[in-house]
Amino acid sequence: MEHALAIEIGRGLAIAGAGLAVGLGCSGSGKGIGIASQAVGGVLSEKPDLFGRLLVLLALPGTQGFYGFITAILIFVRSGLITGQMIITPGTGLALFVLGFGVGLALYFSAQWQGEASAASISLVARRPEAFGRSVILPAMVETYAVVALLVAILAINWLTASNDVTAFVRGQ
Amino acid sequence: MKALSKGQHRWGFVCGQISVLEGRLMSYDFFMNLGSIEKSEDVLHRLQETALREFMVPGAETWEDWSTIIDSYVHSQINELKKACPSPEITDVFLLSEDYINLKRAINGRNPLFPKNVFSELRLTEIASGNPSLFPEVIRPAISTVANPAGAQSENPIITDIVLDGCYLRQYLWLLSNLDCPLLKDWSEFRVLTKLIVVLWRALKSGHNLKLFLQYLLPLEPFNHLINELCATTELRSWGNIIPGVIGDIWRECFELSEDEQIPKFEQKVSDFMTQQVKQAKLQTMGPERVGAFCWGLNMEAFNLKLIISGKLNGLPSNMLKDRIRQTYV
Repeated sequence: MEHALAIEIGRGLAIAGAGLAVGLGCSGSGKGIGIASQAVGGVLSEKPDLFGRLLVLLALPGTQGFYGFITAILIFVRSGLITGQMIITPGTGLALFVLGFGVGLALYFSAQWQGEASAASISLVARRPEAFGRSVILPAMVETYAVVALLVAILAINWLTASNDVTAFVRGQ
Repeated sequence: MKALSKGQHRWGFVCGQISVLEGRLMSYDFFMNLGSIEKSEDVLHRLQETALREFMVPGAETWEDWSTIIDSYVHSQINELKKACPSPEITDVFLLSEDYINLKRAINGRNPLFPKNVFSELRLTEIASGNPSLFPEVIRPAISTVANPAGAQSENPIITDIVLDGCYLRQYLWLLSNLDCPLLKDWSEFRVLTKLIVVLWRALKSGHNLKLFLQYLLPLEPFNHLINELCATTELRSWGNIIPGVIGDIWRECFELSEDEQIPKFEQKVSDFMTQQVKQAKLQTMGPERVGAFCWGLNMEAFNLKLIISGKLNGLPSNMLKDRIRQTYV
């Protein structure tokens, strides 16, 4: 494969992976917040004084969007897109693509389920406002797996882009 | 246990409202305590601590006053939920009885008693002049038999009642069949079956000809065969072998009671059974089952309130009232 074309393919795959991570993460967060906000709207129509507490539960599914954003930025930085030096082999590019897709999926579904869990917690707070502390734990448990996905993404991006082979490939050796 | 529907996010808003409103429902223990209070003034004083307070008016003393207050308490809550429901059928079934009272009054040339819901002002005006064309297809043919003010049949109040009972139950089943919820479908069939049994049981006890029911109550799928069998069996004890399932078990249990107690106890036990059935909807975060269950809970609350207030106003003993208090949703 021609050297420039190989770099082009690697770069394309890495950027696509970043796009999937942020795209799926943000879509999931949007959906999760949408689910929770339906319940919040109904509760606030009867008990407006609960706004402060419900806002926390409403915001929880929004974190996945940020995790997708962090993953994408990390791919951009570590692959040299921001600094102007693209050092991605097709193999690394493919790995980053699959990583971005996998992380994106984890973020999408966890955000959606976190929205459902938040809606259940919102119902709990509406019935028993004093149970707010415990109610936050339920959607926070779902958050754990989004955090795991983000951690894997950070580690994998660092390891993949720190490889000596990449540098060697760029040097044309 | 029937499966609850899932992924019904568009019901989120109304279920959020219900989460708050459920907290305002009165519990079974509250009604038992209310039943123990001797003086009716003390009962009314205790009710000021409940959600009913917003609907209480100064100077309400008679049973009619309190009945109106409780009806408007239930109606306004269900109507508010209806505005937020993605499909209004679930709330319509709980307002339908008021609509049929309005309809019956319109057929008899009288003004509506309750706020209009499923049957609009126009529909009631048209039916008063003998035109049933604005009514849903599921009840139109039957309504047309009593709609003509000059017709012989409309002058027979029993036939009008049977026709309207049939229409009510038919429309009840029809409204809930539009929602894809196994729990609500089963629940509505229990409700209709109970109503049918009570109507036929009362008619048999009053010495009415059950053939009239075959003629004017039907069709009522999926109960046509059962109604035919019940109407053909004038020996009441044999009904126990005809009525199916849990309702049949309850019927047989209640048939062993004294004659005055049979029907009220049957209604009470079935209602308690149905309340138990719908309680599983509390596990649902969002969905039509939650709305239906809450509306049923509200109806049970209204029943208990009316029972206690009328009992206290008429000086009935506490034990008798407490024995008739129905299970509540919360």
